[in-house]
Amino acid sequence: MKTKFRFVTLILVLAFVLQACGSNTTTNSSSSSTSSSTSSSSSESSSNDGVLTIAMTAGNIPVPNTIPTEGSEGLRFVGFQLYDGLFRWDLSSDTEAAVPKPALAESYEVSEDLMTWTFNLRHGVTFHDGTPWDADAAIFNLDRVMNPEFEYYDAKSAGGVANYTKWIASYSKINDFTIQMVTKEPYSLLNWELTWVLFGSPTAIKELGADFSTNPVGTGPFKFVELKEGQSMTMARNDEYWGDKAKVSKVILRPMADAASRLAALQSGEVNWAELPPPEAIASLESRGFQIYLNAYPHVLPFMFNMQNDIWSNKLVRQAANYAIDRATLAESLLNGAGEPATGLMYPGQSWYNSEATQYSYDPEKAKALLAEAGYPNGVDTTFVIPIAGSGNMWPQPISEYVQKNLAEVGINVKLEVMEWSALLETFASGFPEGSDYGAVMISTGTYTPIRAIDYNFAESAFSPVGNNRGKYTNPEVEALINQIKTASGDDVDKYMQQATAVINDDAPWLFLLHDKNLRALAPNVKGFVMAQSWFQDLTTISVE
Amino acid sequence: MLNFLLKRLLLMIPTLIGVTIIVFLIIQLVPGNPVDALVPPESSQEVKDQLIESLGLDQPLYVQYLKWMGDLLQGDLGRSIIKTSSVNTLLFDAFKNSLVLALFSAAFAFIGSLILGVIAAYKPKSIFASIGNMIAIFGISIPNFWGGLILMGIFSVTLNWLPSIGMYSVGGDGGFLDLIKHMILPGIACGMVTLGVMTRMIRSNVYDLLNEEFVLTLKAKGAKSSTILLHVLKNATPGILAIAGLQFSQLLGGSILVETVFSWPGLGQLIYQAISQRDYPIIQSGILLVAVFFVLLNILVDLLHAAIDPRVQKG
Repeated sequence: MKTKFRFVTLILVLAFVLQACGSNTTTNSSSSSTSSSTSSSSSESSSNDGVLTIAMTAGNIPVPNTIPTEGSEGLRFVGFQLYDGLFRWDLSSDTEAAVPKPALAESYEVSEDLMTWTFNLRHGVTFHDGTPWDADAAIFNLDRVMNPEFEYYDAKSAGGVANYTKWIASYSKINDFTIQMVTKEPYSLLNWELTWVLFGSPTAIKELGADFSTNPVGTGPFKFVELKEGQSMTMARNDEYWGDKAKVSKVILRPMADAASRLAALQSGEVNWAELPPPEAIASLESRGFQIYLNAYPHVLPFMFNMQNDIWSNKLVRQAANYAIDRATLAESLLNGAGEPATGLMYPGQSWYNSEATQYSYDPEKAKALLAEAGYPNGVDTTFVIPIAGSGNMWPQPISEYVQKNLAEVGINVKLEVMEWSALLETFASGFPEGSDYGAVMISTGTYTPIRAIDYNFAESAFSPVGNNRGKYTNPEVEALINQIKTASGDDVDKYMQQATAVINDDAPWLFLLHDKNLRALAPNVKGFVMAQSWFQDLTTISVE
Repeated sequence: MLNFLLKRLLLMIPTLIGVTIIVFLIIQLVPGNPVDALVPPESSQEVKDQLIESLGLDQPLYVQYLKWMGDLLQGDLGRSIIKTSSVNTLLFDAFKNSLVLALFSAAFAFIGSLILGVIAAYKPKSIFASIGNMIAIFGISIPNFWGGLILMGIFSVTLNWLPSIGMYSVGGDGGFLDLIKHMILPGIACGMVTLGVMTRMIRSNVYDLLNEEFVLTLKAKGAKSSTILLHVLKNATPGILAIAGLQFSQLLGGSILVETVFSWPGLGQLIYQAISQRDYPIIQSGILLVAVFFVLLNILVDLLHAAIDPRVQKG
């Protein structure tokens, strides 16, 4: 009997060894099998101008209303593809951070007091259903998100754009192709805000009511075709688009919450664009001819310090923590380059980056000295809160554990408390919970508009629950600079932004960790993609060969 | 029999009411808010409060519960807060998709385990029995989503034989063959645990029965081995059925991870996403649906059990 058992074991072991060898050989040839499969799909697609199939990180298909669900990923792949605003992000450059450019507004004038904005609307634009774009359509859409008395007011869309429309006191039609907005205070940056306010067809909104959000009609470079719940959403090129028309005939979105699944789908040729594959797969994907795209954009992943906390209200301790982090190793070894070290609020290359401001290098000795100077020669004990996942937070757990190790080396002993994303947002809705001893919380933020970067995060008027200043940081210098930023134009915006950045970096209200680099992998046959320095991307330049 | 059925159906009502109350309370007590999925994280509380009010979420819990129950009794599960579509349609489609996958997994697991289990019991020392054992142990010990990823790596990425995502090819004909192709990998991944559990169970049941006196009698009478097998299986059925029923419910409700890995648009994924976005109408109705199905399936198993084994009815 024993002999029989041994025989069986031997056979099984042999089978495994053979399987392992076999899978090696097939892995090697798989690059050719993958490319042949993609080329077969490309030959299929060249007859219809190419189809871009995107594996999204969201688990759901974004609901394609004028403010789609699934956060900024919904805007990236759905909102900005189906709709236009008065302004669109200029996503043509991969070397400079994106700025707004006129879109459904052809041109605009701002009054000297910076309160009255007059927009000359673009002529000859129609919505995908043929409805003409004009001042009436514009006012209809503004009423839909700003006038609760309006018959077609949509509370959800209104909530989605409230951060951007809050500057506007009133709006009116001047003539068929001119509208005017009056702001509540002098404000020179309204064009940045208006990139988020997107316009849907009034005809469709009136006809469909609540069902508009699943049968959207905009003016964007792609038209809505079909939404299969939980499976896919198909958009087709808008051949009548007023701007540069898309090259691919279709864009298909597939929700895939699991990174390994997105990787497999890309490798098997089922999608030709994968958002955020596992960073450890970068080298192997490159060796198989897949295109890896990484580019910094206005984003920062920090721990926000609790300024009400005895330990963290001390600037020296905050600076000490910032000097304790070996960001280069974190970005390169742990994340395979999927992030860039954040030595301050802005990344080098961003026009608001200030090279003369304090930038935090890795200097554990200095950290220890600062901690001792702050009166904690024996170190401190504290608790940091991190999310499990959540929009833009990258990989919170491994990153935080790394930070925890770094901080422990200089004497800052951190206990990590993990919260589910929605629960975390609720817990910190009004800032740090009263009476809690939390020292910091990890919440990523986009720094892509001047106001979002500084005012939302660091102004006294932005103390949560009003804004994102959850740690209740305040500095009169920053307040003064915010007022200057709000009324500045041209190069002055950059100048004041750099000054504000310098103050904030030095004050260290956050533990700056990383700037995300938006890792994505494209199949070899996807051409013409320019990875903008933005969370958003232009799909019109892409062709699938 | 009718009495038995009526009793069980009546008992179902308080069970389900209990489920609705518990689900409703638990999900509302957990911190988090559907509004967070609708507005940017840095939105002001004022904006959030307005939205909460417009969604009716500021009303007392019992009012919200009674309204939901009232609509439910009229067959209206409401509209999803996040997806805006009708919950009836969303749940029905997702349930159908999960059911299709569960049926396929169950067929794979039940047939597989029957074959492996019976062989292992009949010839406990053969190579087949060892292979069967091995498969059973693999099935039980490998987490199903991980098994799914391995299958995906071999059959989708390396060999390129089978698709790795979704239920149908986008732009495909949506036909039966397309469905089968998409179902094989997630079906096997889901069914492996059941295959493992049931193989071991069937093997030991059949093995015990083979040593019973009635089998000896049958053998002495010169019955054919196929006849003996039939008798043995009939005696083993109640036990198998009880486990099979439980396993099937698990296949239907417990495959969230496999559904996520294979992007299968099923009920598990729908409810999981709804939980992370606090989409209350979907969570409440979704869990209720799973509970109803679970209870009905249990009744069905009991009925079958009673039909096969008259002692149950009398008891």
